[in-house]
Amino acid sequence: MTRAAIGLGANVGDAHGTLERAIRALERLGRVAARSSFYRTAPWGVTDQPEFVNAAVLLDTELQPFELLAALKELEREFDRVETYRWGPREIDLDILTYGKLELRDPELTIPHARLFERAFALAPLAEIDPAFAGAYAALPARERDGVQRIPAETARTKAAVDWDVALQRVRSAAEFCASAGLTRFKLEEEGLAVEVRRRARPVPAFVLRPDVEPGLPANGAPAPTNGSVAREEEKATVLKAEFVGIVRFSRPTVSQGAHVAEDRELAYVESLGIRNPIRSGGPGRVTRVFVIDGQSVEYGQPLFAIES
Amino acid sequence: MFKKLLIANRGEIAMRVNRAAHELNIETVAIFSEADRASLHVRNADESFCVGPGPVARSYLNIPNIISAALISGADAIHPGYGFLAENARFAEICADHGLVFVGPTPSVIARMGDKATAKAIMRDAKVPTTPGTDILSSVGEALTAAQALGYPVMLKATAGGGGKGMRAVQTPAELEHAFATAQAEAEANFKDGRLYMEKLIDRPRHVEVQIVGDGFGNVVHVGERDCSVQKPSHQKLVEEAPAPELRESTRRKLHDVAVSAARAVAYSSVGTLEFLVGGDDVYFMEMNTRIQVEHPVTEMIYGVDLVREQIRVAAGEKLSFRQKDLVPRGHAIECRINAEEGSHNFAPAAGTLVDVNLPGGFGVRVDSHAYGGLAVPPFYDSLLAKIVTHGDTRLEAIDRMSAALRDTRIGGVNTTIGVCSLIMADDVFRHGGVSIDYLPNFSAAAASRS
Repeated sequence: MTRAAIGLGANVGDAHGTLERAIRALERLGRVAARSSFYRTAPWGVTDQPEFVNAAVLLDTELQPFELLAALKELEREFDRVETYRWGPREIDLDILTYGKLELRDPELTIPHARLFERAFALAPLAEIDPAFAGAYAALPARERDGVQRIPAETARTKAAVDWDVALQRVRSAAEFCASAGLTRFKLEEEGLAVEVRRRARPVPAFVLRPDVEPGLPANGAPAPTNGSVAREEEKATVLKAEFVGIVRFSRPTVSQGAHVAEDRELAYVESLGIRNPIRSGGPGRVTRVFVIDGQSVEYGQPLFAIES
Repeated sequence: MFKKLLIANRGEIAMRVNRAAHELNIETVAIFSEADRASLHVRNADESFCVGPGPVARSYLNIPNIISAALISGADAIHPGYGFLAENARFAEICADHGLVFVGPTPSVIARMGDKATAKAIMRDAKVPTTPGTDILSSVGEALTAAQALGYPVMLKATAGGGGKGMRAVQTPAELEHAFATAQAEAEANFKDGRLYMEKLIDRPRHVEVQIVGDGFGNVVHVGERDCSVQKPSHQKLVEEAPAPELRESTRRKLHDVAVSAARAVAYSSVGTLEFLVGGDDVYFMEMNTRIQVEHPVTEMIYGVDLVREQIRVAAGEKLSFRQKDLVPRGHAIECRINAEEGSHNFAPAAGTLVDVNLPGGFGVRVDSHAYGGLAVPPFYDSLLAKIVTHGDTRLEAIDRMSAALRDTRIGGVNTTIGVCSLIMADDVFRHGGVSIDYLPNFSAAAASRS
């Protein structure tokens, strides 16, 4: 029996309801020893997305790490199947944050989660139920921590009390109305329920919605993405890779996904034996993927940035 | 004891070191090239770092990336295995500069033993017999006098020589004048340096080596000898055994004694091997290997000691865990190297993807291997796939056990040395024991002419 920490995230449909159902589903994989409050996170990069809701649970499980990973992927697929919005983003993301004291560095699975110590939305709920992570959370820059807000239990209960079947029906009607009327925004408030509908001009590329994808791997270990957003992105783009084993440090100002960069701009450097080995953009272009986070260790050949000219 | 050990090697020896470290509760860090991503040594380690592309110069010899991986992972020591950086004194120094313990002897011992002339001088000072020979010979007359003193047969060698060029075996004084002229001309033509020297020719010698272990407290013991006379023409060993068969007890004792005194002479503090040529009852020092050797398991099997574990313990500053009188050999052990290559004729290397891999096991059988079905054997590295080692109460029992184990062994997808090893186990000359280093070349030639 090992105590694993599982991170949950949702940002489509009834995010609160999805998280509640997912936590119940996790009971099938072991005993849920603790669960955190829900946390609200401002969307990352693109602003016209619904906000993320995150939580964490401690799960006492008999499953081995790779069995647990497979079981979580199966749960994600199960949730996707019931999702009506077929081509939209994943309804729920489930990640192994920690597994006992295990440290694992496998192409398919990194434990503790590769970005755990950089992500306020993962650390905040985890620190609430496992005090061992309070220090790591406190060490995050204030800017990061401020982006994540705990949702008070009352609000969560109120939200949970809403009859979501009815509410969703209203949202659908509102969306249809928006489309037929040619509106891009529509807001409705009644009986403590606020519905705001925004219509996007074009679909958001899937990779923006999946910040937890492992570097260089197909999204969430799924078969090569059929909608092809990631694969095609990388086909067109130049992927800059590490030549040196070392620590990657982002150059200031830090580039983020989607940023346009000038020719020969230093995006980062790999610090190896005290020597700075710069990573330059080559020609001018747009950064389509950032595969690493500032301060992490990298090995030879590890993808760092994808640049599309 | 160390907390975390980076293993700067690949294949079976990386797995061997990984196991020894885990038994000592040391965490391990593997390094690998892009060609070895799917290798078992990567899987078995606690952490791993890709350090470069397939070619060794950019990966397994990439000192900056290897040191950086050690520092990032928080390793406190580096084990070099054999080959690659194992006898690189500069690498041992760089490790020390970065506060990392190099699991091996000190850089100065590696450097002195790595230079053959220096090593021989040290050995002469330590009263270790080396191949008798001369300095540069200025004339045929001088050569005739020297040959008379050494005793025929003798070998003329070019100082700048290599690859057999400028070398002449001379049996009688009558041959010497002509041989001197042709060897000089050949050396002049090939190396623009016609200077010659002479060594006593040891007729059909055996290759016998002595395992020694020393610690940092001045304790040095020998762990017996190994016979590695079954070699390819390139001197690559194919079959090794311990103890050396058909060796007079006085010769065996002489080997052990000179090895220990040689190791003491350089205050040796790790595992190491002194290689000797043995002709009759005469022993001549050839060279010292300042690392763990491929064939170390045959010694472990008969002495019941873990040499890699001892090497790590000694590097961490601990005392040897045994004394000379604790070391008593039991029975006989044989090792066959299973390489990915054509076994019958010219030993040309082969590469490919392994299929249908079945390694033997059971009583008295040990296998050190990184092979598995589906493994793509990269073209960049040593062709060793597996070491099969058997132990028996007697030499013939170990040989018969090896024959049976080889019959159980299947490695498909590449040509291997399984077949030639089986033939050797069944060969009367080998079974009698005490073959010299010309055994395998002659055996291969005979096998080729039969087929």
